[in-house]
Amino acid sequence: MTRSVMWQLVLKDLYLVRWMLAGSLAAGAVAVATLPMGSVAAYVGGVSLICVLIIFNIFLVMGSVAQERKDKVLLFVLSLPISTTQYIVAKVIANATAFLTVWLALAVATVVTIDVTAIPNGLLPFWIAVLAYILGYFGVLLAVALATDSTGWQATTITIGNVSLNFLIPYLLSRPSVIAHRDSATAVWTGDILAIVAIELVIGIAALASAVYARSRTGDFV
Amino acid sequence: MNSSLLISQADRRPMYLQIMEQIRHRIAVGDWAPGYELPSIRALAAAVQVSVITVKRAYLELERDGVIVTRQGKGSFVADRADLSLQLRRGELDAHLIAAAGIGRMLGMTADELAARLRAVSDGGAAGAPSDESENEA
Amino acid sequence: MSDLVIDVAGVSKTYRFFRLTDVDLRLEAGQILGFVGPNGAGKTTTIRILMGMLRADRGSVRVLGHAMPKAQAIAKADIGFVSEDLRLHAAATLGWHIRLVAAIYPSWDAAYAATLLSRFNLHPEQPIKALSHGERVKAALLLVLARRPRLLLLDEPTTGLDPVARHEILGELMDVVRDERRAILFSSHNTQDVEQISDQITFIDRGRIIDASDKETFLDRWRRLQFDVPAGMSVPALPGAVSSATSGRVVVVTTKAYGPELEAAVQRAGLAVREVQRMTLEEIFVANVMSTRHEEAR
Repeated sequence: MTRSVMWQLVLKDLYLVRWMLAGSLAAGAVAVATLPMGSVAAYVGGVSLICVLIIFNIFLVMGSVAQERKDKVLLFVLSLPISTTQYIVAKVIANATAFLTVWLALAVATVVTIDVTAIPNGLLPFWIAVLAYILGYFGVLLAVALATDSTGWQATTITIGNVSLNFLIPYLLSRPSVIAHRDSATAVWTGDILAIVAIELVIGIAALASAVYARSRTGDFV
Repeated sequence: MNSSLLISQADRRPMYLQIMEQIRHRIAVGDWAPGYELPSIRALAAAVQVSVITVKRAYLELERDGVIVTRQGKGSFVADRADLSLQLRRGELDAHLIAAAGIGRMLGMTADELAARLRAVSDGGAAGAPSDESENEA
Repeated sequence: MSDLVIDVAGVSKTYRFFRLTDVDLRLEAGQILGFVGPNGAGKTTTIRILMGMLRADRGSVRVLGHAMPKAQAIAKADIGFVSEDLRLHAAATLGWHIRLVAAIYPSWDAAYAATLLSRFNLHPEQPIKALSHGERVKAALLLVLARRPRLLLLDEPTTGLDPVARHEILGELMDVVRDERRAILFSSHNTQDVEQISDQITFIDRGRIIDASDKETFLDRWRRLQFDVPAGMSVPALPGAVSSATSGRVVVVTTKAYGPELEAAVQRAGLAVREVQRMTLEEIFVANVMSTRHEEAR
């Protein structure tokens, strides 16, 4: 019975964020579509795309996890026949599914757009590094929301996550490998970019894993 | 089966006594004839919205008084005695008389004075009791 | 021998400013237990420990025979939990919640749910955020009652409700124990409700159980005795006396051991009894708490 209960919880969480999901897909699609329309449009489109993903990330995690806790809906959900660990796992699955749906769709759209249009493919590694960062950011934010009730920590994570991007982007653009290939028609994957991508993903996954582990050990959830 | 017994929260008497009295009254006026099957304890508790333990106590005391009979596994029944109704009505009368005697004692009346008073009230009917004569000192 | 639906022994839990100490609780099938205590006494903490939402630091907790919180997933399949601070998803409708719960619990009784909907005057298409407080409580109870769980754990189910709603809910709760396999534990500081439908009553104050007994025994053994005491005489210690108050020549003694032994002691002391008053559960509860706190202060 518990397996099907977890499934019901994942479905319920997805149902509750359906409009947010659809809206982010639509807004992100528009942003991606404007990328090839000239340098100003590319700038606006690029920034919008990043914003859509980050805003979706924040609203999704805050709405699904933190708000549920604050509103004491958590009590209702925990009264269902599941353990607290199963609750957390179901939350991770639901949130990851929702976020990955949007992220994957928009990442693929971005890659395809860059590939088929006049945008130099040499920028692909840069874009992948930025998109992977946002994925890692999602993992960390979800982990923090699961691990602690404190809005202070959640706000700190969001601040650091957003501000770090302001430094990451110029850093990426200043990498010799990016500078060298930014106008080329082929994507060149160098070790430093790949390392950055790997680090971003690992941080996201590690944060999530430790949050799930830590929370399932304490035994106090409300 | 209409078990709409009336339990009053304003009545300060214990609930189990109220239930017992209501049941005795039903039997006394003949609503529940000898041999009639009482509602199960849980059914009555739910109908009256009073704890099961209270209804249980009422049934136990009624059985102790010989008003009802409980057969293991079958339920509780009004005792099969022809004079039960009459006996219960006498019991209701006695309860009132005991209360009257108590008040009479507090007023310092003797048993004869009390009997005279009862006669006067009974003869005078609804016209009311004769006015107070001399006050007896307590 | 009825089986124990709740079997809690020696449970303790320490927080920074509050401590639950040595809590014992036992509930047999077919019974309703009223859990009474002031705000902050530990009722909510205890109930959450029963639900496996909190883990006790010490002691053993078995609910429906399952060890908590370890086996909470299995236990909760047959437990219905509603607490006063519980909320449903505000953006969704009552009907959505009904579908969710019905999909999870095979014991869902759709016919009974429909009856409760009309009895509570609720409509499935209503979004939860449009419901009043009383309607939200009734909605949460409906979701729990229609599953017919063996055990109901209710944390202040009638708090903040109007008298009509309370009457409706008490009626549904009494219907639950028509089935002698089912049981209810509910916490309340509405002693009137507790007095009306509970079989067993447990008092808790400041993290400790201060008294536990069946309802009839409580109501039988607590009394207020008024004595006429001439000047110069004093009232001796009487069995079970928890407090005594003097006003002129009248002394009022509150006792928790009313019975033949007390009556004999009164006679031996040659005291003139003015009145013997029964006490409501509320009066018993307050007297109990005050005397316990007084004892601990000494």
